[in-house]
Amino acid sequence: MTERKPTIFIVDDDPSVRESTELMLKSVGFNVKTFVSAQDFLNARFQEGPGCVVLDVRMPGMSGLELQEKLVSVKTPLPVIFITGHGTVPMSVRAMKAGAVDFLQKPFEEQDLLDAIQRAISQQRERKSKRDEADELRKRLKALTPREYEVFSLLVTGMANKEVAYELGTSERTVKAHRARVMEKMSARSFADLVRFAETLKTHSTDH
Amino acid sequence: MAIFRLIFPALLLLLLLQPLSAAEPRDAKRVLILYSEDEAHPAHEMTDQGIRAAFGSNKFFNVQLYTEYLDVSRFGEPSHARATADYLRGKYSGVEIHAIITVYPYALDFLLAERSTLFSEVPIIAAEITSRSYAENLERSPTRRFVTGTLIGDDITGLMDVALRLRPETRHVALVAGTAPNDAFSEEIFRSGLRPYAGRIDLIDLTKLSMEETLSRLRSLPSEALVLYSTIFKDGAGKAFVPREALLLISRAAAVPVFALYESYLGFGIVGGRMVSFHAQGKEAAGLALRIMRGEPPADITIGGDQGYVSAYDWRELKRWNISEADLPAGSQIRYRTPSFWEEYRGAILAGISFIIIETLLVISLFMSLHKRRRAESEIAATTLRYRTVADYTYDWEYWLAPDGTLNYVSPSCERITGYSAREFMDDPSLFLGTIVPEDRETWGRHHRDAHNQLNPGGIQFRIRTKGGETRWIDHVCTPVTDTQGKFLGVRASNRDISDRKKAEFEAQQHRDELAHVTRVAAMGELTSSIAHELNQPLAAIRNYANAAKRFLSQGEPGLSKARDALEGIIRDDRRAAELISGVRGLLKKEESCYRPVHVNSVIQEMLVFIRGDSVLEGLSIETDFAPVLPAVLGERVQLQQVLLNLMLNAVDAMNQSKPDLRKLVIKTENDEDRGVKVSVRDFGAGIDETHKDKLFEPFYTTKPVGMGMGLAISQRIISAHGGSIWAENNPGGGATFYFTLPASTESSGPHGA
Repeated sequence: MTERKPTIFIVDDDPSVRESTELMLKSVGFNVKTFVSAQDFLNARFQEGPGCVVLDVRMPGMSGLELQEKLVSVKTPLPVIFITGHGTVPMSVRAMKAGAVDFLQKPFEEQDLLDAIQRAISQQRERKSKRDEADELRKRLKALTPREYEVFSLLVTGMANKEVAYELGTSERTVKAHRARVMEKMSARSFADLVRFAETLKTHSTDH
Repeated sequence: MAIFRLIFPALLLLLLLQPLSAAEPRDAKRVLILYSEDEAHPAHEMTDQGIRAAFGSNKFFNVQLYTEYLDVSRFGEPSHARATADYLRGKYSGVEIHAIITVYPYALDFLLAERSTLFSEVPIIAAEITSRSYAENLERSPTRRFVTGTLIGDDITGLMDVALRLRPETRHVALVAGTAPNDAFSEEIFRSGLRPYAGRIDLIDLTKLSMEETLSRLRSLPSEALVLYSTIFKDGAGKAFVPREALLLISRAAAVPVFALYESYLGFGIVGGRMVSFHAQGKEAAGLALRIMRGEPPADITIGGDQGYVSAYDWRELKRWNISEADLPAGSQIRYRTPSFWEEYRGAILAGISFIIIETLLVISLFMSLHKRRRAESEIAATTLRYRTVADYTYDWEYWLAPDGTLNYVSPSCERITGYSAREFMDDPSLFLGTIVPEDRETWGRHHRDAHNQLNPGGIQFRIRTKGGETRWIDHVCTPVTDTQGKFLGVRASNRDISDRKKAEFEAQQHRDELAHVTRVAAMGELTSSIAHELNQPLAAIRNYANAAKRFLSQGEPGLSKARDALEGIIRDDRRAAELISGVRGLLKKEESCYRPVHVNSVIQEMLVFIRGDSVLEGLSIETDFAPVLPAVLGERVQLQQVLLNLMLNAVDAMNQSKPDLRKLVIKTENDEDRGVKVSVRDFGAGIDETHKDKLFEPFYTTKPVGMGMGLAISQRIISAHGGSIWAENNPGGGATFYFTLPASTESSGPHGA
């Protein structure tokens, strides 16, 4: 994917940390946007795009962890990197369980943040490509006839042609014919491809 | 006895008051009484009594009496009369006499003869004029102008009638009389008085005989005779007699009853009868004197008077002559009664009987009062014993301090508390103050003054040094004592030994201090971490700026202005960090926890004792449910108690809105299979909001309107330092339970640092 330059969103109530981080990330060449509170960030309603959120855990009003929870519920969430002046183990466990990329203690090493951002961006990119692939596959899936979809659904569970025929009350030959058409319509070069497609679709089905 | 003691003074008082109450202002009058015979003359004595009685009871004058006796029977010569007159003249020269009473004619004659120079113009009452002819002469005399008088009685008939009535058989009357002038006067009265009886009785003349002959004749008188005794001043032999004494001889000799005209002879051997009363004569004369002194001219008063008589009899003579009292005329007086034992001693007997009765009553009442007193005494003794027991067996040291500073009472319990005996305190009132430690004496002094000013000073606490040198705390309360009239009787005080309580309070305080210290330490731990957080902000910023500056500088010219921005940021945040550091005060000493094997049940029990009575826990019931056998855990008692206290205080806050019967805590200990001991604190409050459950143990997290939000964070820190864990759950039936576990000391290699 040819992609736009990623944007780093910094949410921190502490102006020093916010501004210094902004300046540092800009020196590296990132697009940077800063917000003084979680609510401020939510109000800005960012569309999806490459980038990540560098989030302070403890802030007045909505905390970083709460903001993270809200972001997770969005369709394609921005990855979150936590930075905290004073973290506890339960706090970090909770953050990581909710999908945080990293949990950094202030003062953090520049490289640790940059690595985390890098990881976040590639993670996001990977997720985006997966999601794009799933979208493509879903389009191809719509080209299947109902009978072909049934055959596809059963085949990817690991059933043999014969078993599928028995399940559907038809002949093995018919199943083989459907299978060839499914492979063609789904652009699968091998049955392994087909199984992987099914897996991708399954993973991203929650997005719908 | 008491009655007599009362009556006598009362009577005395009455007697004393009598003349006072009768004392009206009366004119003083002086009256001279001039008697013809001497003082021993019985008729004069009687007359004198009559006069004095009459004057004494008169209401007009205060009469002063002067008496003179001419003693004419022994000193009848004219020369003697003149000497007497001279004597009287001299004697009364300076004395004004307002009236003179002469008794018997001789005295009047004497006075009239000397009157020109003796008592001239003084009115005269001639009392007891013995003959009617004399009276008639006087009536015609020029002296009548200032003289009046009374006639002595001469009623022989009245006497004879009675005598004949008592002795109806009488045929003879023997008349006995002497030879003196007075004797002649009265003999004449008898002779003339007997004349009417001449035919009926025969007169035996025994007059002018010698005494011996008279007596001899009297002994031989016939039985139908009676004797009339006139007077014998002098017998036929010229021997002088006191008429009464002569009468005694005559009466003794006479074989028949003797009668006489004058009352003065009664008691000397005559039977009695209607007789001249000299007492009445005297009264009459005094009455005339009063009339004259009040202004009545003597001439206006007829000479004569009432000639008072009296009917009286000698009881002994009546018996002697067998005369029945019943035969006596009505109204007769009987004198000289020899009374029977009863009669004679009736008063004494009655008095004696009364005395015996009274004495008996007194003895009875004495016995009764003695019995009553004994009973009262035994009651008093019982009461005394009871109150003494109440006082002596008090646990506290009681005393009663009199207003003068001495001690009325000290309970024996003082010895238990002070080491000094009650006796030692009583003997030395200053000992009490001496036992008080010097630092507390001022407090005591203030209190003591208030107590003695009856200000109801309430109680104080002070320390004493016991006899054994030990210091004890005393809780002292006292109250002023007053009697029923409100008189101040001192101060009643009670002293309680509260040394143990003070010690416990002190220990509890120490424990609280320790808890507070732990809390402070933990709070400082939290503070330090906050400071670290605050400090990390500029540190993080500085590092960011430095990295940015380095990178901008490597870009050469175009990056310079941004590099400058970054450097300024570094300076700013460095200053911020410096300010933060300089603002930190009061660094903590590093605390080293001392872990020892402890028994959780006893740790909890100990804490419950310490917090008992804490106002925060008021109205709260705390139940414990301890596992009987628990492994020991390695830990710090005070820190663990701090955790429990925090949990309990949280629970109390959670139950603020609960109904009183739900304000309850259950503290439970149990074996935790793989972790050692599990302790839970269960409340019945509002429970925990599930969304806040994760944050409960975070520092500065709080749902309470007040409070730092440190309690549970500290508790968590402590428990995790002990190698245990702490968590909270909502109860199915409402309220929340906080749990924490502690590893058993045998299973655990020891706790790790936080």
